[in-house]
Amino acid sequence: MAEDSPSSAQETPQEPSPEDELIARCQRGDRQAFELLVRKYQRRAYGIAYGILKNPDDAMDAAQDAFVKVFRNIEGFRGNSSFYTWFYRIVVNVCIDRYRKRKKSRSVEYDDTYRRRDESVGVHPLHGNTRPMNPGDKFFQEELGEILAEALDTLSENHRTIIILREIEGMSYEEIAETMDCHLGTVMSRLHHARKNLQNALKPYLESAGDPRARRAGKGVRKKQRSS
Amino acid sequence: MTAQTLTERDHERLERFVDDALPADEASAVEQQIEAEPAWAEAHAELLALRAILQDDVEAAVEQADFSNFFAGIEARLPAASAASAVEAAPSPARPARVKRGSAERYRDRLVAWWRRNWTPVLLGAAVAAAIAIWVTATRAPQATPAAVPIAETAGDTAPVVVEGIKNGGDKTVLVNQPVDDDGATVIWLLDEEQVDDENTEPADGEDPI
Repeated sequence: MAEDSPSSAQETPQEPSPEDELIARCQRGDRQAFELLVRKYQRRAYGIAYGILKNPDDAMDAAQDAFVKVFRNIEGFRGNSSFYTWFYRIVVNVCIDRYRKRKKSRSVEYDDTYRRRDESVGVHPLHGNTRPMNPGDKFFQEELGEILAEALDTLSENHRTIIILREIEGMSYEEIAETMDCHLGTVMSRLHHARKNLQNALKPYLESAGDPRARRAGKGVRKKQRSS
Repeated sequence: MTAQTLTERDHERLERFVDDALPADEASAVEQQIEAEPAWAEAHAELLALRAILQDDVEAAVEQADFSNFFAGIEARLPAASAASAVEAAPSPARPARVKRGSAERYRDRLVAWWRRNWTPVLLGAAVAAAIAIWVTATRAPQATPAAVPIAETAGDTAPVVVEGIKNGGDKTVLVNQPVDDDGATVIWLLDEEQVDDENTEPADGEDPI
């Protein structure tokens, strides 16, 4: 997920950042500026949506929906919070809404989608595309993907969202609190419980994953990008 | 020693370390514990492995997603979204009225077209239904009690015999004439023949038949 650093928090308050200008143009209804904003955030929005929804099509649709909402509501963005926490709140809300609806009308469709893709195309069921894998990797990835999806499914909406914002997006506790409109202590406690549940569900994989994975793990995507 | 020997508090501290949320002095203390104690090292490795699994999964999905039509997909939804918000923001009385009239016209046209296609069976069906309704009404209607009719006049009597009602429960009947007169009415009992045979029911003059 290589994109520009989204945060305007790092910018000096005196000079409007290029992002601030972009947002101002969007607020005036400039579609070109909006397209630039979309291109800047599309992969992140999709990543969050995929992390929460665990379905490529749903995630793509949810990410697009979120941008439509951004376009419709950007006039009301006053800059009290940073744009990206405001934006992620929209993405998260769209995803949670979609997740609830899907849970209601659940599960045959969800499982079928994975199975169909897997059988007909012979690719990773969660990735839904054409990355070639050797059979051993494929089997491991499939199994891990399914276990991960199941494990995430056992978490509450808040827990799964918080762990995605932290581990995928690399948000700080404060940013998560702002995005999810809750206290810092709540963030820490939810994150702790989410991790604990996931660790229990993924125990064998975490042990077998060992050092190579651990070495690869950074401090969240966005942090990695910030530091690079 | 396993990771389970860490207390909850240790775990929380370790998580904050992994999340870069500890002050520098605490962070370096945790770092030393990780190096010195296998349980801490193991718990630390598990937290990083969990992060790696989550990141790998999402990053692979993002890498393989096709964003070439992403903005086009948004743009396709924008006109509708803008129109919807424009209506929300400044509702014009003319516009909804025009929409309503248009839909009413479409509805009427559809109704007319449907009638042209189906008028024959509809009329036929209605006629059959009406005939059935009339037949059912005629056969099921309770038989009206005949109007009071004088059937005989006895010589010397002043009042004619008047049938005010008929109740008949069986096919075979026999007439038993029993004048009962408390208030001037005559009761004619129509009983089944069997009843008459079995019970010798003909009451004596002036006796109550019941």
